[in-house]
Amino acid sequence: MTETASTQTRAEKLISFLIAGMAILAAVITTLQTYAAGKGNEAERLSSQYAIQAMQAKASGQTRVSHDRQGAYQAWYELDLQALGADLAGDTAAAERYRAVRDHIATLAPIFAAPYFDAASGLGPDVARYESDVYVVESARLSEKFAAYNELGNAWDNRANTFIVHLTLLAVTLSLYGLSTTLRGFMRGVFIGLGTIIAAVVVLWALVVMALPIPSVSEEAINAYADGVGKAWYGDTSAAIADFDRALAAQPDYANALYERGNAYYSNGDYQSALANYEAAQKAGRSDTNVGWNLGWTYYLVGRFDDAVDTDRRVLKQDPSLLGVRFNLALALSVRGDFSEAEAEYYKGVNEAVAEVTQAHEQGVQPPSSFWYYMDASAQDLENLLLELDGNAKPWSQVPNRGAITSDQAQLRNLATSMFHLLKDTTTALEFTGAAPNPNVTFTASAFQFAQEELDSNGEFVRYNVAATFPSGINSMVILFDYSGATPGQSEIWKVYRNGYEDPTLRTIGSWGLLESGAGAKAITYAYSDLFIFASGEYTVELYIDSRLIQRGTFIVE
Amino acid sequence: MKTENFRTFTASMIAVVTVISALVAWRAALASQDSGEADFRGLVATVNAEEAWVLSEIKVAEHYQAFLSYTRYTELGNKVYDALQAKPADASGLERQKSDSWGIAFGLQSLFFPSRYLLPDGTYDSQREMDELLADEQRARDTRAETHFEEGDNLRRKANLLVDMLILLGVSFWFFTLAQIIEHKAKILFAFAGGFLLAVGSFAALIIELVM
Repeated sequence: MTETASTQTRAEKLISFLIAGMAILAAVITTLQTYAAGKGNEAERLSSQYAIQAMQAKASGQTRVSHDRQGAYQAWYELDLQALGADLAGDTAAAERYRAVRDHIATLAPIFAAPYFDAASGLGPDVARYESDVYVVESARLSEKFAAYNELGNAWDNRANTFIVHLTLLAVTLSLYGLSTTLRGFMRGVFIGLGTIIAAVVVLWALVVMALPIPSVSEEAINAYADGVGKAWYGDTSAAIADFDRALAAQPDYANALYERGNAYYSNGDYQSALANYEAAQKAGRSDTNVGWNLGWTYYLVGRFDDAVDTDRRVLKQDPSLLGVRFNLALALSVRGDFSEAEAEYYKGVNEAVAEVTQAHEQGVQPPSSFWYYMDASAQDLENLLLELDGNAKPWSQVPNRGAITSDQAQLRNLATSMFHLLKDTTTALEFTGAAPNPNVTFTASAFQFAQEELDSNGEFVRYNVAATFPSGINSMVILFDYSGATPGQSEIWKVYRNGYEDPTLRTIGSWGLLESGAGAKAITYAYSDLFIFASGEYTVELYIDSRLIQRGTFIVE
Repeated sequence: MKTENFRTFTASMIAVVTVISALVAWRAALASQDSGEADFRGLVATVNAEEAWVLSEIKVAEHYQAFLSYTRYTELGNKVYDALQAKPADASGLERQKSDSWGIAFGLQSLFFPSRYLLPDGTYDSQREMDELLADEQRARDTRAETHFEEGDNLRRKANLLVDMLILLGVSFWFFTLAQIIEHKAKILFAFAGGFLLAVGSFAALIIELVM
């Protein structure tokens, strides 16, 4: 009896001792938890602050730039045109007055200072460089800090939450110790042992959590990255690459710096380096569709068509609504020789485009402006491919070398031509009618001829001088063609592209007002004023009847 | 009897440690909550400050744009006036042009930007206008985030220090428990150690509470 009582007392003393020990352990873990939670709150607070400041920097910076451009530069430009007009009219005194006021305006806004503007160059201000200095670098810096401190806050929160789990486990230990005082014999030993094991696990676990590193915020890397973003913004990609190199030296797994360095290499035409950086960015955690989109496209450009197809498919799995990627996939399938699959993807993309526009119109909204860009760009990609197959790629073409294309080129040419027309027709039909193109257009036109009107000394028309290349300084062009199958009142749209990009100021929209068949002459002109001429370059003119591409032709201005 | 008294003493001290620990934990929780509220006030002030900046920037940019138009027409009028001094043949056309230009300039100055910021050299002090608008906003709204963030940081430090004191009190609790359960003479030493830590922990917590 005495011995049993003594054992009981010893056990109760041990339990009291252990409970007191748990109090110390709980106090230590509570301290660690409070510290971690505090650090987490601090980082999250900074993150929120930087997010707000980044938004301010963008909003106020863009406001400033836009007022300087639309206010100061627009005033300067108007005065410059007035001076030119006065000169052409022989009123040199008025021209001088306009120039004097124009030059005075140029002293009043920072957009006219070096290095943004050089009046002698004849060019407008370098708005991108001005934007970069006014807000792009600063907003990039603040946005990166926002993301970095958010990540830091999450890491501290995770640590604090793990300590809360530890405290919960210690509560379980304490309850096991408490319950053990109500038990006797073997079961008491089990409860004490179990509680002690849990406490030991908590101690070990807490030590591991303390040993795990918390991500650090490298201000040096962020500053270098922001500088690089600014330089890339105004096209100094080589200097931008040097900045991204500095950022990556300070923080080698900086995913955004890898991605932006990839973009800078891409802009420099160094596609292999771009690929390496995009792949590294993905490995470093940039798993978003932007990286995948660029990666798939660059694989296509370097002739790695299997990788392009796989990457585009992965991106579409992430976001099936990306029309641009859908058409990139179709293009990669085409050059790989999977013609029927490629055609199916093109039709799928076109049907999705029609559905998107129809749905938007039904809801009384508009599709995003990027929609038209991707539709146009996809047609342009097909045209570039056809030009490359003909050995006639343009300096602005982005297309893989035809040596890398091993599929049947005759089939590829057929598919690319028909899909090019499909995309052109669909884009025009959707933009002007909001529906798919009319399949029953009978209009045909002969190949375009481009001509200058020759006038006699009285200003009377003498003849058309047809050519393919015209001297610099012309301000009007006449397109000659024969046509048949026309129906009066059909919609008639003319689009003019210079060096692959549409010049919307030359776009004309109207209704067919000529006969059912005959000879047509369409003028595209700047001659409503004597201030403008055709800039040098390659011009492509397209005629659409009821949204169907009927004919296109090209002329060059030297 | 002595042993019994000692046990009663240690039991009482354990109770005291527990109560003081609870009080310290309560004050720490309160400080932590206050630090969160100070952080929130800081973020509200940040939003106010940045919003004030954007709105002021827009206003100043609009005024500056109007000022540029004003300058354009004033200067044009000046140049036409200079041309008129030479008494040219087409004076009536120039006279109308001068009148129109100066008239438009006056209209712009009257309605579209505050003349107060026009400087004698013909420039516009947009920096002064911006600074004055920001000063107005600072008077009208709380835009000083740093004050609140400093307060939040102080309160967080206070909460951390108070929680640190819980370790001392926990060790004190442990010593008192040890003194309570052992029979050896060392129990006096343990009780003394417990009492010392209790005193240090409580005093430090009181100082933290009063100073921070």
